[in-house]
Amino acid sequence: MNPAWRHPSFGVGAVLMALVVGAALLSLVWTPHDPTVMRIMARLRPPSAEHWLGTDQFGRDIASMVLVGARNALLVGLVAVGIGLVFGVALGMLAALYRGRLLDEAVMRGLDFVFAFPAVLTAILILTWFGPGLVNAVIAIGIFNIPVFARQARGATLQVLAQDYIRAARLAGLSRMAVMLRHILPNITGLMIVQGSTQFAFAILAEASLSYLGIGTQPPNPSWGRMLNDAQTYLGTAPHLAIVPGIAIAITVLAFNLLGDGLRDLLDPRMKER
Amino acid sequence: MTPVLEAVHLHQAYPLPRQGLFERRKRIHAVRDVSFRVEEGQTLGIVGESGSGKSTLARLLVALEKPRSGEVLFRGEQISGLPERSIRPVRPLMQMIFQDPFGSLDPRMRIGESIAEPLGVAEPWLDAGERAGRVAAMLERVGLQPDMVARYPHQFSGGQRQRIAIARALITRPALLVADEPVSALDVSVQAQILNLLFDLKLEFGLSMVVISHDLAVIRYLCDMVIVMEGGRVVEQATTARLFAAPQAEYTRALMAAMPLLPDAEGDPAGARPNPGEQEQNASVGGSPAQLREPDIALNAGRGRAGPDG
Repeated sequence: MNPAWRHPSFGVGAVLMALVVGAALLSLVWTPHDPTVMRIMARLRPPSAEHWLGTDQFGRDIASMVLVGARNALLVGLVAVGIGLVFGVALGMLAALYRGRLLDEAVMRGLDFVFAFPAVLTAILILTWFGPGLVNAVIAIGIFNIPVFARQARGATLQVLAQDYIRAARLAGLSRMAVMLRHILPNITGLMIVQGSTQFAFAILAEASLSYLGIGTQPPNPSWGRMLNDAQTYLGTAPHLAIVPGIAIAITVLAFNLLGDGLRDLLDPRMKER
Repeated sequence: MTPVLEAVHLHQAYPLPRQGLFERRKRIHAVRDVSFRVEEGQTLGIVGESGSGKSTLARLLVALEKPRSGEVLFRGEQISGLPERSIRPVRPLMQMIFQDPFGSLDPRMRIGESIAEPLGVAEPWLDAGERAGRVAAMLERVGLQPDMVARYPHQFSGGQRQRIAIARALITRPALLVADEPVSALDVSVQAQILNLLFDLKLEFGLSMVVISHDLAVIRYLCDMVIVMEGGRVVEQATTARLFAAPQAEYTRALMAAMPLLPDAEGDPAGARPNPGEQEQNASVGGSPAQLREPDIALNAGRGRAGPDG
């Protein structure tokens, strides 16, 4: 057995992630019902043989909506975190490298500016500018992720820069760029992965808020976040409307967090057998 | 002949955090007006308490930092205050080993890669096989098994890591090696081995060295010349033999008095190493501090005896 699977968090995380990815892939070819068809006569039904997870306030099949929603959730999470990670880490490392100088100040204060705006407000701003839709929502959420990663990356880079092995690398004649790529990046990766798995949860919830406001995933395209928000009204009468997408989000977030923790350990040579 | 390394009125200061918005920014002067030369093949010791500016000086000497004023000349050419790009060609010729062998190796890099890294920059034309050969030979030379290349730093002890750091520093066959407290982070039992290794390599590679230490025994074992630093200033500069025979500065004497007296060494590692430059003075040592301090320098045990005849 590959030692990676023996790592408990990584193993469990991988299984959960497979579940979510499997659901997303399955929804491409098959769902129990058409998730967009409304049947007012069959609204707010509890789980049954026909509707495994019941129906919502419009009589749509919740199981089908959750399956299709997995697609959007993964898309939003991965792309938004990806944008934040790539730009954030690059900017953070750059700022750390020019610590205390104008570039550092300019980059970090600029990101503080972004960070100071409430996330959703920033997103609304961007979306009113570029028009609503899933892609723009993902970009907006990604932009908001940048300062989070940049701050972490800057701090982590400063810590690594203080190490003697960075001096040794400079003495070896490596260029600044080579030091960054060969020594700094690998040593901050673990931290960034963990941050990324946390930000993933934030991204899904942000998408939920935006969809709720009508500028995220556009109906009738299902989104876990919008399902959750819509369910608020029926919490007393039909709690499964909230529970089902809630569990779906929880499982996905948990999968990312466990995978993140596992990857951090697996990427660290110190965690391998001595 | 041009000296390998020359420091000319070196001065370094760091700004302290502002005390208040309208206060003047104060500076801490880590190195003040330090000048010396290291001739080809010579080893210069820099001794002083922590905070005396030794490590700052080390970083200045290998151009990891730019001095506030003054110059560092390597083989007669100025290397201080230059942009990194201009220093890079000289880098392979001046290397450094650090105090903490746990911090000086990238924890995520296999040690073979770490050792080969300077080679990749200095001699990029080598193919993978040649490079691996050089690394293996170097590992063997510092007393490790060549098949350890695929291991990570955490799999080694402190002494082994310091050997790896030495291998990395010497793989480009530098002319100058700056050793910043090379053994002070190591177990006492390992210190002597590393010092012996450094001594052997110095002769074998014809290295000029600058050894920084707070430990006079280390200095005495490795160095031909000594600079004593206090508060960033040089308070005494002498040949090792003269310094130990007749320390001039008050501070030097205080340092010597503070050295612990250890019982005479049983495990005299590698026996006596007569240091060629020093023998003549030892004849007059007699009851001088050097003789008094004899026991703590197991490494030098034979030298005092051999001296008068040699």
